[in-house]
Amino acid sequence: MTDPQPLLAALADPTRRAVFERLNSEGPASASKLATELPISRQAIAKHLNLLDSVGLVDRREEGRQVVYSARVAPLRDVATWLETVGDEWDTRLERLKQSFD
Amino acid sequence: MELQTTLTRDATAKLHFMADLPEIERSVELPAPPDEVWERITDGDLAEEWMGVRVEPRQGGAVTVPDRDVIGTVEEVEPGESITWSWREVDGEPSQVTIDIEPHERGSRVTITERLLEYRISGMPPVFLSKAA
Repeated sequence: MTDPQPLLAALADPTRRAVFERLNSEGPASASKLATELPISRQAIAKHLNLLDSVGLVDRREEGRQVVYSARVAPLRDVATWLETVGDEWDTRLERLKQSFD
Repeated sequence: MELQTTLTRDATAKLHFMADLPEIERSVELPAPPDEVWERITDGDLAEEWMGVRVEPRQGGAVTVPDRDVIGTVEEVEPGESITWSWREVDGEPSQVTIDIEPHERGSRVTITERLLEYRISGMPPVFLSKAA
């Protein structure tokens, strides 16, 4: 069992966010490949990838001797859907509140 | 903190995460003084008309949504100024609502904030969104 993890706290770190956004926009990559593209050491990238993995924000796949990581946006999409639904509900309610003063 | 992430191939959504919690904020100006607005939030019948929610305006008071399985509890009350409650639909995600009322010109401004406290990724245990949760 995975312990409860702070999902969005994982993305609060700007470097970790950069790693995640790179994987999301440019596609899957290994830690070594990311180290050549981002101004961060391979070791630091591996740490960030482990943390992203522990909160379900990346998938890992073994390719030969390498591990290739890809971004997993489903958890964020759920959050986006929630924000949209809840925002719409309050828009409707506040419109009714406003009309009640007419 | 603001995170811009491409969520689908053809759509980019901007997510605003304040203090690590995803939240929405909505604000409206009303032509009535704060006391009158407060009444529409805390008077059960009046509140149900526009909000569809009944709130017992005291700490620990119940928050109910007629015809829906919602469990909610009032956490903080500043009469005439603000109220905060947490609620969740059975099997849904818990969230926290704060309503702030402030005098504005000849009326008031009401600001609603609702923040998501936790949610489940399918097939995984609940994921807490904040360090504090």
